[in-house]
Amino acid sequence: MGRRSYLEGVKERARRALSKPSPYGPDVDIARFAPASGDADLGDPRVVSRAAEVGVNLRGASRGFYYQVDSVVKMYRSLVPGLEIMRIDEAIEERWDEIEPYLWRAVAPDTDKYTALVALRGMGGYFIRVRRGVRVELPIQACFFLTGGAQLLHNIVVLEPGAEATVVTGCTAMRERPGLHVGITEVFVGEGARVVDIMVHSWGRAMHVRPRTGVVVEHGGSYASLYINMSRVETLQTMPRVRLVGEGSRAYTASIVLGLGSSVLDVGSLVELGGCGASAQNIGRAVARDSSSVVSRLAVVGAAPGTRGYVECSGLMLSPSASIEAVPALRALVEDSELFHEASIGRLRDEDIAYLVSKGLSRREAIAMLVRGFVEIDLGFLTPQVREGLRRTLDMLAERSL
Amino acid sequence: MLLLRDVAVEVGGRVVVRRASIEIPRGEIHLLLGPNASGKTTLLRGVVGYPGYRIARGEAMLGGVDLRPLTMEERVAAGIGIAFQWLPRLRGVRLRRLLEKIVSKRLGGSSREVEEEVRRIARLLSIEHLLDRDVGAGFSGGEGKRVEVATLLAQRPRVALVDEPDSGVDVDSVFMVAQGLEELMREGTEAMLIVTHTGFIARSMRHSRAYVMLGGEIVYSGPSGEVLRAVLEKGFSWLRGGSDG
Repeated sequence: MGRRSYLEGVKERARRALSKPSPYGPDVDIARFAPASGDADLGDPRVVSRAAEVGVNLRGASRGFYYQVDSVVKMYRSLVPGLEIMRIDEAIEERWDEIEPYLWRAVAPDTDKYTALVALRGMGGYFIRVRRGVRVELPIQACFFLTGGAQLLHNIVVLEPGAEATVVTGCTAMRERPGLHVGITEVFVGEGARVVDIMVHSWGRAMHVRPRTGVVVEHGGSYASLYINMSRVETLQTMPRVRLVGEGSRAYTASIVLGLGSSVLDVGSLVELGGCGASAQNIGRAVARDSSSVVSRLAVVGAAPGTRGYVECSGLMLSPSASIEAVPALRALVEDSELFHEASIGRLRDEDIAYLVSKGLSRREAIAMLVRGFVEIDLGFLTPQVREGLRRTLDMLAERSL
Repeated sequence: MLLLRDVAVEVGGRVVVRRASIEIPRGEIHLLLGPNASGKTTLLRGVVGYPGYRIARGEAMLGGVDLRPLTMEERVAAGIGIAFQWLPRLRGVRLRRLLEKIVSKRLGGSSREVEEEVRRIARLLSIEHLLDRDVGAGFSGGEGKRVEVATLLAQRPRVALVDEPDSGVDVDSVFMVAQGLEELMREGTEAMLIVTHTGFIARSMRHSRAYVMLGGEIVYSGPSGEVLRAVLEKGFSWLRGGSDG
C-alpha cells in the first residue's frame, strides 16, 4: 500500500477513536494539553540530573542514543555498524518500504483516545533497527524529557533475525508542571533474536502518563522487559500486550511501581502465548504509600499447545490510606497449556523491622532494606553494566518509599 | 560492664521474668542456664529493648549507662548486640547486603574494605555459600546460628547477648559458633551472656560464671564449672524452691 493511503487510513481510524476511553485507569481530558516548546537544553544540570535518575547518562559515552525534549528531537546517533537509529518521521519519509511492515502493526491506532491522539498529532519518537545477526553490546539509550504540556510520540524497535540488543528508555519531566505523556512503542523481535527492553519513569505530580506498548516475538525469539515507575504522578495507566507468535518464543515481563502521594496507578501487562511451546513469566511488584492507589493487572493467555505461563503479582502496603488491587488473570484456549499464578498483598512485618534494628540499622534503614528486598527481582538476564544501573535505581525507589 | 540488678521483664503487660541479677565484668563470658520457658529469652529481649518487652523493675546498666529509658535502636547504638535463636526469612534481602550494611555502619570505610570484611567473616563461619541467598531462606539450624554470630562479628557490640547458639545444631556447627564467639571477644566485644539449656556449647569455649533461671527467677549462680557440673549431674529439678548459691 502506498504511504499516503496507509497513513490516511490510520488517521481515519484514529479520528473515530478520539473520544474512546481506555477500559482501565481514570479518563483524562486530552484537549487540555498542547505540545510544549522543547526549549530545555540537554546541558541544563536539572535535565542531566533528572535523566540520571531514570538511568540515562546524558554526559556519558554511548554508541547508540536518542534524546528528545517535549516534541523536539535533540540528538540521536548510532556508532555501531548494523544498528540504525532514526527519527520516526524521517524513517516514514525516507524508508517507507522498510518501516511500513511495522508502523501501527503491534498497536492499533484506534485502541483508545490516547493512541488516536498520537496517530493524529504525534511528534517525535525513534525508529531503531538492529540488523540480522548483529549483537549490540552496550545498551542503546533513549531519553524523553517533558517540560510540560503534551508529549505524543511513537517508537518502533525492530530486531531482525538473530540480532541482540538492550534498549534503556528513561522518561522524566519537570516536577511541578502539568503534562500528558503518551508513548506508543512497537517492538518486533525476529526469529532467534533477543531484546531487553527497560523503561524507567520518574514524572511530576501533575502528570498524566499513558504508555501504549505492543510486542511481537517470532520463532525462538526472546523478549525481556522491565518497567519501573519511581515517583509521584497524577495518573498512570499502561497495559503492554506481548504476543509470542513464534514457536518456542519466550517473554519475561516485570513491572515495579511505587505509588506516592495521591497517585493513581493502573499498571500491568498481557502476554499471549500464541506459538507452540511459547513460555512467559509476568511479574508485578506494587508498593503503595500515602493515599496512592495502585492496580496491578497481569495476564497470560495460553493459546497454543505446549505453552507455559506464570504470573506473580505482589503488593506491599506502606500506609493505611493507600490501596492496592492485584488482578492476576489466566486464560487457556487450548487443552495443553499450563498456567500458574501467585498473588499476595501485605505490609512489612514488625518483627522483621525489629530484627534489623537489633542489628544496628535505624528504623528508617530497616524499612528501606525491606522495601528494597520486596522489589528485588532476578536481573541475571542483564549485562553487568545495566544490572548495576538498575540496582541503583531500585535503591533510590526504596529510599523514596519512606 | 553489664549489670542487671533485680530486673523484672514484662511482655504484653504480663511479668515473665520476676527477678534476675547478673553482673558481667569486662572480658568475661557468662552462661545463663535453665529449662525451656523459664524466661531466659525474655530476659535477653528485655535487655536489648525488643518491642513488646519492657524492663518493669530493677536496674539495667551498660558501662554506667542506664538502659531502661532507651529504645532498642538507642540500646544497640550504646553497644548491646543480640544473636537470636531463630532468624526471620527476609524476602529479597540478601545476606551479603545485610552484612555489608552492618559492617559499613561500623567501619564507615570504602565499599572495598566493607566487602573484604564481609568475606572474612563469612569464611570464619563457613557461610560463604549463603551470602547471595535471602536472609533465613532455607538455612539449616546450624547455618542460622552461624549467620547470627556473623551479624555480631559484623556489628562488634560492646556486650553480646547470645540466645541458644547450641540448640538443634550439629557438633561441627556448635564448634564453629564457639570459635566465632571467642573471635568476637578477641576483636573487641567486652562481655558476653550466652543462653543455653543444654550447656553443650560450654564444652567448646571458655566461660567464668553461670546462672540458672527457673520460673522467671535466677535461683542459683556460681563459678560456671561448678554450676554446669551440678546441672549436668542432677538436672534443674533439684533447684526448684532453692536459693542463690
